[in-house]
Amino acid sequence: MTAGAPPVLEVEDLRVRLRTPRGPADVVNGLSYTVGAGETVAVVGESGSGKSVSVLALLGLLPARVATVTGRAVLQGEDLLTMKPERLRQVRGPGAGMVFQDPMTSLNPVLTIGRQLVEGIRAHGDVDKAAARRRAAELLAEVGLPDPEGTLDRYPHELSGGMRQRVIIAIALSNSPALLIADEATTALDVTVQAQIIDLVEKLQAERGTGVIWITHDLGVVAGIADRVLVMYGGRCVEDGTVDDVLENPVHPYTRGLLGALPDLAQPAVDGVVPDLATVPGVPPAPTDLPKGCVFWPRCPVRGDARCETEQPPLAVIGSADVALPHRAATWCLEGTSGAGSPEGGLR
Amino acid sequence: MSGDVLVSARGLEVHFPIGGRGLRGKPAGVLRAVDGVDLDIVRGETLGLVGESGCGKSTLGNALLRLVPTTGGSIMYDGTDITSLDRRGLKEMRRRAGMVFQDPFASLDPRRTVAQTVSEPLEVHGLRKGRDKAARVAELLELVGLDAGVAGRYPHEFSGGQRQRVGIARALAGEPDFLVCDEAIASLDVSVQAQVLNLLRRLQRQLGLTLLFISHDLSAVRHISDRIAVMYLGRVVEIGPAEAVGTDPQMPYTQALLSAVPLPHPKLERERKRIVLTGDVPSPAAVPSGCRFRTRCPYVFEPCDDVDPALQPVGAPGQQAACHLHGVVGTPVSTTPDGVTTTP
Repeated sequence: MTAGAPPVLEVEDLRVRLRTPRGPADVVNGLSYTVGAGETVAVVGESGSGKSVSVLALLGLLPARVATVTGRAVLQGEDLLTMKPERLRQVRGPGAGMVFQDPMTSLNPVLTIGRQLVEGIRAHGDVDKAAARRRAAELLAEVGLPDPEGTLDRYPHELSGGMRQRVIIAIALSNSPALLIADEATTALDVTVQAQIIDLVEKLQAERGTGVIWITHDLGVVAGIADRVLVMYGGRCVEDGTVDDVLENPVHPYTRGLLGALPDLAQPAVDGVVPDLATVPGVPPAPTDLPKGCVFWPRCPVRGDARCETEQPPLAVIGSADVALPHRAATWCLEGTSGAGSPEGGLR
Repeated sequence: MSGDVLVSARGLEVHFPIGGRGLRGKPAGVLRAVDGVDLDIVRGETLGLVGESGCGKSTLGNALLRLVPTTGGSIMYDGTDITSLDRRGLKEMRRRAGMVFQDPFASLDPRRTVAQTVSEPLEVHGLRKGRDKAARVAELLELVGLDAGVAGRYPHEFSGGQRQRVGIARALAGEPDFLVCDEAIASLDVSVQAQVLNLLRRLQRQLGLTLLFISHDLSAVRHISDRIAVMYLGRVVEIGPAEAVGTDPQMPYTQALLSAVPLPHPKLERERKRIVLTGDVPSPAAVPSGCRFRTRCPYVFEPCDDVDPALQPVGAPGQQAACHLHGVVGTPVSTTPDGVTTTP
């Protein structure tokens, strides 16, 4: 995927601290990853894991009053985190486009689809209104909306959820960004529409070589689209690697718990009964009160090491380090799990 | 199907008038949320009801508890037609049938303690009083896996999963034999979803409940259900044992729906053929004539236009699908000029 070419985005030791009434909340704690051209990186985690905040921080979308962001995030050679606001505004369109979760609220209800698209196109390019409108119609056709010309004059409420999400993708793509960030972009949609949107993003990505960050809690979606997976828990990356490594041979007890907790359509029934789901007891930690050692230890069924409680495990390579994308996990509990054949709590 | 039927709907219709001019104006159209549903729910089973948003699955669930007025057909609940019940009869019926709602943040009163919420059905139905009541609340909380000590707490002190447990405890308070769970796990995180799914399964077995599990999540439905019913545009288009519907669906819509469910297995996902449906679900205010799936069906052929398909036995024992591919069975339709059908 990233054969020699420089990555589109390089994130290094990203940290986000938010000021809250309950004291400082460490929402993202040292996140590092790269996104290559044409590559899809899936960021997976449950609510409160810091996955959304981590990308909002990249694009400078967190209010400076409450958020302290440190680290480096180099997009096409420029650090987003030290950029001046004016420059950042220029970069957001052609550099990085974003698709948010809720297609019902991320469009302005009182403006036509055309105006919202033209606004984005003209903000980043010296084009006249008529040309921008033509471009807008092309974009709508590209994302597969029927009657693109007519759609330009319609209002968001006249479109279905799937159509709106296509419009939002068209807006995000209007300046041919090098990076597309999709934050739970298909979560609010039905599975059949979700399949359409995923196909669309994959097609556009293949045509343009866009790097994609796909944030989701749905491991099924991840299996279908991602090249690389990053599992977040308590603001940290607890496991990452290729999609096959992470989903087929998960190592971190949290990843394994997450996969075990997923009802699986492909799982055969035993004597007509599908076995109970494995559960992860308890709830994720509050970012204002993270555990001292491994972030997962209070809920961990393994706790195989005395250091779990006291010392933070580093993100260490598992297996071979001589591959383009090494499989890494942050846990003290590697011994006894990695070599033990098929781990229970993992896949089947 | 075996065993006796607890809930039985025949030709059930829930139509809403839409677009009238002014308060007294005649409605401009009819929204057919539930449009001729025949459904039997067997005592002690878990029936999963799936479909895309707008297919009428929630309205059907509400109609079975008479939470929305029906406009046609009948609902037999344990031998009584509940569409014609008076207030007293309805009250007793609602003690015997509970509901768990989708949003655990909206379905609990923020100003009432857990004990007040859970004991309300006990008061309404005059089931327990005084110390008995408190004991019953504690019993219910323990049943759903909460500590009895939380009875004095308020909803904001709980996580989503815990709130959903409170909602389940409330639904169980009247000792119902039928429970409707409408998207009961949709707003929960994966690990918490698993906890609630396991809880529902345990309760169903332990209390011998009959469960209608409404969800858009096919994996979850397949996991928890004995049988699955698939809805499209107000109609049940396929029904059968969970295993059969989940692995060998007979109706093209079910096939497309299942193929669109992403599986958490990268290798399987790469090999899998996905049936991508074009377009959106038609509006339930303008249901296509004949087979209602024909506008999106990849196999559409002649009879689909003018014969409204009925459910017919196909595939595994107990499996039924409404599709002409298995033989043209159904009601010929007379089409009005605007393409909207009226079923005779």
